[in-house]
Amino acid sequence: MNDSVLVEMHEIIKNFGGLRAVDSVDFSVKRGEVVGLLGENGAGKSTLIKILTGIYRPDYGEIRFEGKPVEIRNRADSQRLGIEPLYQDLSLVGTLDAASNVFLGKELTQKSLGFLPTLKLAAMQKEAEKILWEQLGIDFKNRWEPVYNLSGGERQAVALARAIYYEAKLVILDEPMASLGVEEVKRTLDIIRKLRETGISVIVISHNLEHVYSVADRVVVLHRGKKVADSPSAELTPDEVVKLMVFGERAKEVKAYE
Amino acid sequence: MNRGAEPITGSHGSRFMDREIGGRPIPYWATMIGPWAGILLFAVFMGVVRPEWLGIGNIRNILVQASVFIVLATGMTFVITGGGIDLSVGAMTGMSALTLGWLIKFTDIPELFAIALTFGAGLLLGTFNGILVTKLKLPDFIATLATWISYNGLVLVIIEGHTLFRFSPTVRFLGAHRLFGNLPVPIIAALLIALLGYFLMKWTKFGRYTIAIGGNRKAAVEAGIPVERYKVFQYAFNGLLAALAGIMMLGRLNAIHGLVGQGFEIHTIAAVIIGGTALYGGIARIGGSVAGALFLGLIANALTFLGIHFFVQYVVSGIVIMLVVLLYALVGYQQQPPGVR
Ligand SMILES: Nc1ncnc2c1ncn2[C@@H]1O[C@H](COP(=O)(O)OP(=O)(O)O)[C@@H](O)[C@H]1O
Ligand SMILES: [Mg+2]
Repeated sequence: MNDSVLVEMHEIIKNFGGLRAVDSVDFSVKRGEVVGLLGENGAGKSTLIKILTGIYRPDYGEIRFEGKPVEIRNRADSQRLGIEPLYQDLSLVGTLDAASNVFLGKELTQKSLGFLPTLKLAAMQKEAEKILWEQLGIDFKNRWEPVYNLSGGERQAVALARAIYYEAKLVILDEPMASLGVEEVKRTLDIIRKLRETGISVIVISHNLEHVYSVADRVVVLHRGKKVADSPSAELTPDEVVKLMVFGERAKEVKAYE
Repeated sequence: MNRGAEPITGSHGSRFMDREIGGRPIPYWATMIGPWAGILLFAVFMGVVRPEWLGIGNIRNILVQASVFIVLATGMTFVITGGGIDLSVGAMTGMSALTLGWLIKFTDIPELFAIALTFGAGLLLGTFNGILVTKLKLPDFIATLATWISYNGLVLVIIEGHTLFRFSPTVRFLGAHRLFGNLPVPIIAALLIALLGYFLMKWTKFGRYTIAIGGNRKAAVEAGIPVERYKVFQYAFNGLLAALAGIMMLGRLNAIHGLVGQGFEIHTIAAVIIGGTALYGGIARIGGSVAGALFLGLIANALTFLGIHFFVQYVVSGIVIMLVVLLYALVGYQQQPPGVR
């Protein structure tokens, strides 16, 4: 089970006007696998994952999820499949606390006085803390704090706890560490590892090879919309990756990943 | 602007926690204690200057006058917290009072039914605001500016400068009746409405989503919250409470004329802002709105008591509002929450 493919994208093409942002790319993620998606600015990384999340629709190509062909037409479709993107702005409500954000839109309710649907505040608080602590290892001291008062890393944890609560199977992080401090980056990387332990797959996009290499099981390199490398991270040195990112070369020497 | 990932800390070391409603920017005491402390200070000051001002009769008077604004401010808190504004609230109050007066004087329907219809009218007026804002995508300010003028005009057209007066105790119950000896019903009603507002804000999806929509509309959409529907709910709720306010006004005045409700929107919005609800949405303070309404009522009453002309009261009220908002800025209370929006 653990080695089975979760999502498979096949010969994906996406054009923006005359520009081919994604050019016939095969891309797959296994269950519980962390895939680092690399490439220079404009290489097509964000476009590729936005096809997975349903923000863009591919002009050509096929997507299979858990072996079945699927159509991801919008965000609701991707959410139903368990694909949870973590945007840089994290989509949190700054003035609500962590638990409220984790449960936003999926609040637990009870019938008070037999008819009145009210929020189960205590239960949601407890559940949110459980996810944060047991699955993400975040010791949450600022439980009542509006999340804009939390650090960037803590906010990220809240957003991830949310993804876990939504029963994510695949979490996508697009440049998650772009504006975090050193400690915060460490925490994010820890969280990515925690997600993998939970059996959740992760796609992480970053410019920073060191970060990617410290968590990724496999790296995929895009160059001008084309996939130029796809290899277990142990079999491709960061130096080679840099060359691939910049020149798109060495693609032929790297065996295609099954 | 995307500041999402920046670590943001308050400008002060102290970070107080909000266990009640939504979030609270620093500092805590400025928004929760502040308005109440203002009330206390003011009352002490007046008590010293004019001891007779603190008589039970006058206090009751103040509370009765403030009760209408407590009701209106509760509704307005939802609209503002949701990132909107309702300029038509005074006109809706007048429209509702007129509806009730008209139904009583010109139709034969039972009085209780007329009151029910009045609530229906308020609900309708409010819902119409909500539809303008969501379906026609008009900015909240523009939409309610338009309905403010239209509803007001409608009142003037219908009533044609006349006054309807003398209503039965049943019709006046919510505005003028007294229970338990000497406790005015409007005070009880205002208290119950404020409690209801607090309950809705904290314990229901309606309140939670209102905060979410005002705090970060995009995040609310992405969380699958039917934002437009809840926006309509906010305006509808505000309209419903405006109807209650109209019924209370009619009961208190025992009359209805074309000017009932005029200027209430400013007073109401001021009460909400003084209370600490964020003008840009996302932070709700029902208790603060109550305090704000009381505070403004206190000032108006004191000025009347001191024999200061009605028009001057507007100036003084305006200055007070300015001072309060300035004070918030000074102590670091941000009307627009920083960071994750
Ligand atoms: N919505 C869009 N409309 C037009 N062009 C786009 C759009 N999104 C991305 N592109 C273009 O597609 C290419 C790939 O962009 P993107 O996927 O964002 O790259 P990356 O995330 O790897 O930096 C770029 O040349 C970019 O300018
Ligand atoms: Mg990108």
